[in-house]
Amino acid sequence: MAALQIEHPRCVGCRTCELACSFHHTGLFKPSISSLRIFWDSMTKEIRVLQHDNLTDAEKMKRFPCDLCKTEALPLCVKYCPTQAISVVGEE
Amino acid sequence: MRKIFSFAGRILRVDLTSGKMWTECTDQYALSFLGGRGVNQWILFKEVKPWMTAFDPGNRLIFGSGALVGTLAPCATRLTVDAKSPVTGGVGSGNSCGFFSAELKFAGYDHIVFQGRARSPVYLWIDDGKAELRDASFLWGKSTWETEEILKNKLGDEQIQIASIGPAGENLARTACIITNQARAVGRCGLGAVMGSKNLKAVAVRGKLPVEVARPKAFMAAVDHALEVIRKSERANDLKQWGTYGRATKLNEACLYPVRNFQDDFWDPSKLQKLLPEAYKTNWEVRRQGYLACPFYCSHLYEVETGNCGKLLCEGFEFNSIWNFMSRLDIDDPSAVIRLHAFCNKYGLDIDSSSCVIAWAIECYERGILTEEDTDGLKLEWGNEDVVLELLRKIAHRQGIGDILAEGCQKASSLVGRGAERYAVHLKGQDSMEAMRAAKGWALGCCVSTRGGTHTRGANLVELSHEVIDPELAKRLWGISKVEGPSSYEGKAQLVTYYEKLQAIVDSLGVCLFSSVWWSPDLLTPEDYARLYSAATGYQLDGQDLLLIGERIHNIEKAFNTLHASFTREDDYPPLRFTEEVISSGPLQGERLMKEKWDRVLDEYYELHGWDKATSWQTAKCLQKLGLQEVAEVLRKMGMLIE
Repeated sequence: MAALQIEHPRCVGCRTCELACSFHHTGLFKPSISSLRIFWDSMTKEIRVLQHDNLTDAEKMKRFPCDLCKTEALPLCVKYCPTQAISVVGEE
Repeated sequence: MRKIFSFAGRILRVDLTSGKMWTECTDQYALSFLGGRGVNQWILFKEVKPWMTAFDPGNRLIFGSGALVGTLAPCATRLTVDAKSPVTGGVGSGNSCGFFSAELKFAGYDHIVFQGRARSPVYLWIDDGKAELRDASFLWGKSTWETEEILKNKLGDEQIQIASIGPAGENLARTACIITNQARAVGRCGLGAVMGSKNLKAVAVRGKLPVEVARPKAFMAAVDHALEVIRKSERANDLKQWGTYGRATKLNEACLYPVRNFQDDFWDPSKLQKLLPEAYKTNWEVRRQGYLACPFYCSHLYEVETGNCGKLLCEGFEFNSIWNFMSRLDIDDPSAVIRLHAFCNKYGLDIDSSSCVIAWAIECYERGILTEEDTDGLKLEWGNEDVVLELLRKIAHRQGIGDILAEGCQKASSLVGRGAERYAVHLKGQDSMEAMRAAKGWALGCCVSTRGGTHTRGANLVELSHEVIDPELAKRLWGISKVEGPSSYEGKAQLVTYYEKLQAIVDSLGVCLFSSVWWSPDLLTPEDYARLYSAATGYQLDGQDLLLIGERIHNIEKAFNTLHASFTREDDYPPLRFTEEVISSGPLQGERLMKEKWDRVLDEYYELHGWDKATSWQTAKCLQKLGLQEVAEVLRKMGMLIE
């Protein structure tokens, strides 16, 4: 089954994918409903990337599940990630 | 609230004296002034009166997001904060990267305008359109890093974005700045001190609201076009790889390094050799850091030893930190810059202004003007990181000699006297960070800057690569037949007036200057920004329209300076050190700025603006052309308009 794969060491924590994802789902820029959630710990500076499946149930309710941008040639998070940290693996 | 695409649509007003808050619509300002810095400056001009001092409760402290912030427009992640400056007495304006600006829009506001002064320390908490002033007594005295951690824990959300001041701002150090994301500084002009004077420790924002563009398909096409332009740019790739520090050697060869308080503009290459970008990548870089919609991710996260404090993890530093802490203070331990940069961020100290005043003090000590009696027993020597760290701590807390240094070099030198004024290198009262003898267009842009010493108004970089600039491009962008080299004054007034407008545009759209033709002529032009802006807002503008708005914004700042600080032509001359003392080593040894040539280039610059050559003041005709009759009327009443 096709899925997003995040290559953590490449991720620079910019959250551009959140913008792109929300635009795909709603036509709006609204990171709070993105299927991906990126945050960095202000003390350890560690970047954490959570995909929809890894979110809490409460969070899942507020966010769109990833549909791999099926109406697009390429998932928008993959297209706009500046470091190519996101890719699609597996097959439909 | 009237809907306005690409904006949150509301401006939050906060009276800290009464605790009252209210909102107004953004659209009354956005068409004329774009957003961000443009709207901030208009509100500042309208509401702050010349008789108010910077620390008067009547001063406004205005946070502004930009018109494109919160969208996928490349590099639209900048925040601008404006106020009357306690350093120059005129325009105060600072601009920073980070997540705060977009979060403010997602929280439902394009701008926050603070006025008044709280009775005791407070912070503003904005959560999805709801704003509340809260007690901040428990945060007073804390560093910006501690403040961020405590507030995030207290408010229970990692994604809250915080802009705060450290001890420097609390103690009204005129070298204080505002910090977001622990390392992104709204620097220069003493804005942290204005925040401190209002007893405002921090602003915390969290938002889940959307930013909607008017024509989504056209907007995404404009985004793709802009990203393609950036992808093809060779210089952009340089920035991507090394950040702003990528041109380390080239800028030293161009004699643009301040050395020992500008006693020279060329740094010993054997020292610079230890500090090349590759060394930081190999020895201290943990990872790269990017911010919303930024294709450059030019920031770096470093880990460094601090001796008795253990390891320090800090997002670091821009090129100016190398100039400030290394060549200016002649420190050649490469890891020092990471520590000094980090401590400035913690204290909420502007690195440019702080290092400049420290360099002035060290030179005064070297010349016997300051002695150990003045310096609390410290031996002020070049190349001594420990002394610099101690001075930074003293400045932030206004302790001992720090109380004088916290005033900035112009005011400090007046307090000290004894000839110390001669070594205070400042522009319009603000400590000057830039070496200016070698590159004339760069120097002109710094000297005429509306916010005092800075290269982020009209200063240009293209003269340094003049030999590869196509004359067609020169004609199209700047209206000159070719770009002359840095040693020539020819055509530099045109470059400066162009970049003044461009800087106003990018600060008002909320995009990064490094995405533009400022960093490299093959990057984004006003036409590219107009395409993004038009699709985002639905207001159809072209590049020329944007340049006109940029000129308007610049003229508001100019008028503010005339009214508040009485600046005239005299204030647009370089510090004497750059006209009377030559570069003493390196490829351009013997170079300096020439007074008579400066006279001519200033004439040319004022003429391009349509300003009066004798006084530098604005004319009624120029302001009318820009639709600023209201500004002209205020200047006329004060006898400061040339009819």
